Amino acid sequence: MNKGIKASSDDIWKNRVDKVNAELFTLTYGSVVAQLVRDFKNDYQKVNQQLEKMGYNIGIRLVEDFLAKTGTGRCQSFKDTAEVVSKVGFKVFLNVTPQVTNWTSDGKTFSLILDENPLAEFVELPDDERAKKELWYSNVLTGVLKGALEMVQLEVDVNFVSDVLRGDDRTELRLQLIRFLKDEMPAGED
Amino acid sequence: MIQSLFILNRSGGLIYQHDLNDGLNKLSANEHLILAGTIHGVFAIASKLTPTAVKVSAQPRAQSQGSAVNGNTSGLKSIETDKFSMYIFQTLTGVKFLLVTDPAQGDLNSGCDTAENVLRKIYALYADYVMKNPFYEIDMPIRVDLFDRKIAELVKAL
Amino acid sequence: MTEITPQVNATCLDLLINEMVPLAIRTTRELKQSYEQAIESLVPQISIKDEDTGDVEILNSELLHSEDVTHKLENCGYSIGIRLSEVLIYKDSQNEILKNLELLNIMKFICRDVWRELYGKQMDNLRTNHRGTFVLIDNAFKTFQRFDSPVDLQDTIYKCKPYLWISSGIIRGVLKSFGVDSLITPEITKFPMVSFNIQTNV
Repeated sequence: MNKGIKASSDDIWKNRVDKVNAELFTLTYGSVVAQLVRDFKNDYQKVNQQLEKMGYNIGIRLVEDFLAKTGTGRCQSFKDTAEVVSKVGFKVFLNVTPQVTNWTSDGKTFSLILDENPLAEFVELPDDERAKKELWYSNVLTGVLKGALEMVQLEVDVNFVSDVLRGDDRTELRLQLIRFLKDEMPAGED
Repeated sequence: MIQSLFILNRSGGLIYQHDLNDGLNKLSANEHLILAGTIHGVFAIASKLTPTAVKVSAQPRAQSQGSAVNGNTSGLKSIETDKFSMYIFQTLTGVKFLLVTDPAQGDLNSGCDTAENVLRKIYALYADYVMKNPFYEIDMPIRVDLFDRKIAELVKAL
Repeated sequence: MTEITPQVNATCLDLLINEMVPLAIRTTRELKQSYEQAIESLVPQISIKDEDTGDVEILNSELLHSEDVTHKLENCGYSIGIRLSEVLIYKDSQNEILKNLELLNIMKFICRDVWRELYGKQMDNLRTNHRGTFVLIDNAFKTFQRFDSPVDLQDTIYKCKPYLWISSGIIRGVLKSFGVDSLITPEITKFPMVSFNIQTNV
């Protein structure tokens, strides 16, 4: 991937994206997580599940906005996909560019390190030891990535492995390519 | 002049048809469905016919400055007749946008480019007014007034 | 232009809000199911868990207007409102409106500053009986901008209503941040026109 990708994403972010105050977005997401925690009475597994499910539903719609407005073409490798997710996807939607790192030698798994996370700005986890061990506050992202990538025929497993909110050193998302959905690949593109 | 727009879902089902001018004879709803199904089939066969060498050279660009990439690299791209032309744009998610226009003036490629530009804008409208409508179910027929209006405005402004 | 406040793509917020109602329904359903299972745990049950992938169908659930769903959405709004109020006051502490905290001025703050932050426009009308009841009217509610049911207008209105509880909760939260308790009844008067009837002498 060339340097052009960054310049072009910057341009799209600056000139072609309708923007809203990030605080409003953070507050809205925070209210959703807090409500789920209340509803499921601190059963954080269930909260994580619901966040992922919601993310999936967002991802399958968001991907069309992404493709229609960024002009991203078919990635030739999963390495390209990683670059595009970080430098184009995260950039034009959340205005951050996570670091792509920790590739496995088979090239099928990598990490995204979120130095900045607009979902979790000024957030503190519930004052509950279990929350620090079980809640993945930003879990909506795993669903968004799964949903969006599935629509471009990539079945991917996505999980958080660490989160600064839990007291970890950094916030890390792990993406693993399960398979390329060949049967769902549209004809006319090879 | 743009005559008509068709949108086909990932499995080739017709989910949208909009006559934007009256330069063509009207088809029945059933004929629209048959046309969509036929194009979907011919499109796939055309892709099989396309020689491999051509396919490789026609890979979509990695990124094209803010306007959607046509994933249609080896399928049926256009149909030219004396009375109308038809152009096909396919998104990476497999949605097809079909534009029926008056016959291309000048060479075939310029007609394709013009149509593709319009179809890119239509795709952006689809992303905004269809996908962000929470009452619209993906792959189902599009019945969204605002989308109809936006398409009509876009075509009128060309 | 430099970015003073951090921003995100409006698509993120739009799609998040769109999903809040389906989420509230899913949560309510799941909680009901586990409650019923706990009660009838002696009777073996066949699980009829439907896989709602596209998740539009879920809006046809009989739970759409249930008290549980309404309450969850209103509650989310409330917690947004309380915090949003803080953010706005912090950002604009010189705001004329805030120099005199009488009720009418707080309402003006909602109509002007809060609404502009949320929807990029002001509330179109503010009425009061001067005895603690206010009616706030937005002629074209932005959340509904792209909402359109394939069935008909009536169905659109029916499915839009739950989303209005989020904003209703936001207003209640902002009022609460000024120490004002309120009872708010939102209404879709003539789609996409909405009104919020606010009683503060509760």
